[in-house]
Amino acid sequence: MKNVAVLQTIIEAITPYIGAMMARSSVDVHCKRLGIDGDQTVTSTQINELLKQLALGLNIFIGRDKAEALITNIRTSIGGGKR
Amino acid sequence: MKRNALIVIVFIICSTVAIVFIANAAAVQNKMLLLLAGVTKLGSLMIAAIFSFRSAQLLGEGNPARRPWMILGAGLTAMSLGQGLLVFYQYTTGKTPFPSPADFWFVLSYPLIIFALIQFALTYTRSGFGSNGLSVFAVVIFIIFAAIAWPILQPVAHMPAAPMEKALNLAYPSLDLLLMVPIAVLLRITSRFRGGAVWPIWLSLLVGFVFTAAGDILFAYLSALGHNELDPMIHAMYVVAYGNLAWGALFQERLLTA
Repeated sequence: MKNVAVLQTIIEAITPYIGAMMARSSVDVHCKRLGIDGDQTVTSTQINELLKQLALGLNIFIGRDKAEALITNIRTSIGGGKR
Repeated sequence: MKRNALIVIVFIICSTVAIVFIANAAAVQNKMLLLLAGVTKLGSLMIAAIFSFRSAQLLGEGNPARRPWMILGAGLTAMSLGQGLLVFYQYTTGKTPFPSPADFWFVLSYPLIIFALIQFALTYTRSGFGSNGLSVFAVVIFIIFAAIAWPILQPVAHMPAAPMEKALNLAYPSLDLLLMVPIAVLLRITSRFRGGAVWPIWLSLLVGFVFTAAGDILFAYLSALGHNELDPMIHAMYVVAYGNLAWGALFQERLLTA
C-alpha cells in the first residue's frame, strides 16, 4: 500500500464520525506537524504518531474505547502497524 | 425504553405540540393545551439533562469533553427545575406567571450553559478540531450581537412594568445574545463535521439554543409592546427548542454506546 493510500484509508475510516471535510483536514494538519508528505515514504513511527494524535482527538467525541477500537481497525487495514 | 424509540417519540410529540400551537391562536387560553405544552417542554429538558450527564459518564474520567457535558447537564437541570415549577403553576392556576420563582432557575441556567459551550469550543480547538481566527470571530460576533441588542432592549427598558419584570425582560434577551457568541463559534467549528455522526449532535443542540434565544427575545420584545397575539408561536418555539436539545443529548449518547 502506497503512502497516499495509507492516508486515504485513515481518512475513510474516520469520515463516518467526523465527516469528510474534517477527516481530511485533521489528517492534513497532523501530517504537516509530523512531516509526513503524501509523495514520500512514511515510516511506521510517523504512522503510529499520526494515529495516536487522531485517537486523542476522536476520544472527545466517541470516547476512549471506541476511538481505540477504530484505530486498531485502521492499523489492521493498513497492515498491522508494521509499515 | 430504547434510545432510538425515544428519539422518534420526542420528534413526534414536539412536532405535534408545536403544530397545534402554531395552528391554534387560542391554544394558550386552553388549560389542557397549555399543560400539554408545559409537560412536553419539561420532558424534553429532562431527557436533555439526563442524557448529557450520561454522555459525560460514558466519556470517562480524564476525557476533556467530560466536564463540558457535565456543566451542560447542570444547566439543563436548572432549566428543567424552572420548567417544572411553571408546569405546577399551569396545573394549579391554568396560567403561566411572570415573573415567578421559576425564573430563578432559568436565569441560573444561562451562566452554566454559556460556560459549558465555551468549554466545548476550547476543548475542540485544543484537540486539533478548531479553525483559525476563532478569537477574532468571537469578538466580531459579540459586537454584531451587541449592536442588535441595543434597539431590541430599548423599548423593553422603557416599558412601564414592575422592577422585577423589567429586570428579567432585560436579562433574558441580554443573556441570550451573550449565549449566541459561543453558539456562533461552535457552529463555525462543527459545521466542518457535516456528513459525520458528530454533526447531528451539534446541529440539534445549536438549533435548540437558537430557538430558545429567539423565543426569549420575542417574548421580552412583545411583552414590552403589550402584544400577546404571538404567545402560541412563542410556546411552539420553546417546544421546538427543547426537543432539539433532547435530540442533541440523545444523539451524543447514541454515538458513545452504539
